[in-house]
Amino acid sequence: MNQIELRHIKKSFDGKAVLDDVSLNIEQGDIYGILGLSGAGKSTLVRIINGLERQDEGEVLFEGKTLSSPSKAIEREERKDIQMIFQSFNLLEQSSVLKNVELGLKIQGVPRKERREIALKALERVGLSEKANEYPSLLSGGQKQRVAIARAIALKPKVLLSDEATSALDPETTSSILALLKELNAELGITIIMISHQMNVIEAICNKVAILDQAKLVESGSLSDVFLSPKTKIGKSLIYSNHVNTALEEQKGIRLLFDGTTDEPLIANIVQDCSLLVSLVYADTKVIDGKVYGQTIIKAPSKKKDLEKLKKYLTLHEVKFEEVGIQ
Amino acid sequence: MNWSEVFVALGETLLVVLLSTALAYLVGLPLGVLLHVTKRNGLKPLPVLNAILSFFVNVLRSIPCLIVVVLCLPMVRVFFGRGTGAWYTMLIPLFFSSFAYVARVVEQSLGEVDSGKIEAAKSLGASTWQNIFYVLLPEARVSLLTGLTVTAVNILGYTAFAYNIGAGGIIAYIWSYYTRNTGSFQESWEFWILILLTVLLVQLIQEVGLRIVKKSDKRKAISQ
Repeated sequence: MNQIELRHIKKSFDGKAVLDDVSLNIEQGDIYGILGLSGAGKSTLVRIINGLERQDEGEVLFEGKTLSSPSKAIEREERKDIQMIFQSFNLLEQSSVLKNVELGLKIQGVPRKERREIALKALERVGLSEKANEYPSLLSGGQKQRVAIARAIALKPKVLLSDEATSALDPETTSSILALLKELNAELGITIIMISHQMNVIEAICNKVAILDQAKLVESGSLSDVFLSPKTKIGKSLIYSNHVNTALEEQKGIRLLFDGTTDEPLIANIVQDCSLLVSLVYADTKVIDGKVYGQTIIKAPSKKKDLEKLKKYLTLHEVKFEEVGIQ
Repeated sequence: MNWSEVFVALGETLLVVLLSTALAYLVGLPLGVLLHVTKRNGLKPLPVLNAILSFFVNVLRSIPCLIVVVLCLPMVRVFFGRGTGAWYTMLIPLFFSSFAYVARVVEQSLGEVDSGKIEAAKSLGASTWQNIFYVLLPEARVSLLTGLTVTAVNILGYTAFAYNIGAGGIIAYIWSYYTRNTGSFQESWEFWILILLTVLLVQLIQEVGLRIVKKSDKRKAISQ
């Protein structure tokens, strides 16, 4: 059963559509990435899930029951199950780290002694026990986000929403926060919905991904499906970033996809077997769901005959490929 | 010059300032909170109430202090049995000329709290009241205390009207010293001592206030 179901969500601000008929199903235990450029409506989408925004049309279902609709606002008690972390952390600067983690428990009416215990445990889980009595201003960005995560998990939520939670952090800190989120997902079975404009963040931990473009959901599915063969222009540009420009028609390239663990020297083989000299534009490997994928983009041969030869060779050797424009 | 009279006057000013600041906050603080939370993007948007309160506060703030004194005279008489002539007759007019100002100062301090914190508390399940008491007021504490200090000094300035109603205090004392020595007050060292004492009183209020502010701010504090 779907844990969260978005049904035909519409939302506009001042007449401008921010979400246009967005439907999405999220299963328990998913780490669901929502990718899109800024202004694509990603933030609004998660904010509708936990009721920080109200949709104009459509329904949000949680565990099969209506969580919110245009005629029904989310209940305060229901928010507890769906927690959120933010890009700017949103910690109380005038309260100690421990008091920050206790905030949700205090709001939920948990007695003082009990909430201290739970908060200390949550802090321990994120590796910040020794900072309990410090104030947030003395913490680094990564530590602040850990406190925010502790504050969220102290309420034992079923879903954690992450709104660009690593966008203000350096790459190393980002990886450690992502690793923590992945651990929490595995240990607690907590569903994570992750918004980002950075595809490497989504790629690092998500098992599913949806792409939002100008208020519309344009692609969604398992990470390997979407990332290895994006169908839409926006999907391609987000996933290959600057290496590929689908708009440039005169400069053609061929994108090759293969098992990243292979020992076969693919390019060398092409050169030898087809006697074609290929020039390399881009190459990398991606680890998706524990599998290594290699991708290489080469310039397409300018002669039509050579191109046909190459295509035949690739098909014969079961290398997935597609023609792309390159920059 | 009778120095014991000077010190009584200083004491009256300090007492009146503290009491009327307290009174002004008793009403101004909740009113400021109400103004803030009922705003369009506030915690509990109530545009009509907000517009009414805002109008009321603006009108009150537009009436000059001395006029407020006159308007308050009948009420002061009811309360204290006399409208003028004692230090406590200043309290009601001072309250009426400052609580609307306090409401605006409070509203502004609350406006400085990042809305992200409010949203974080909301997603933790906070009600409007919980958000006010657990997030809004504690996070605005430093700014609120700064506002309190500034307000107290302002109110001290307002006490000048005490001369007009014979209510005492140091400013009225200096004014009456001047009226008795209009030709020679600038050459008199006593006059300058009175000015100095007033400045010291203001500095005392400000210094104590700002020290409390500094101590209460946890944003730069070393671990405790």
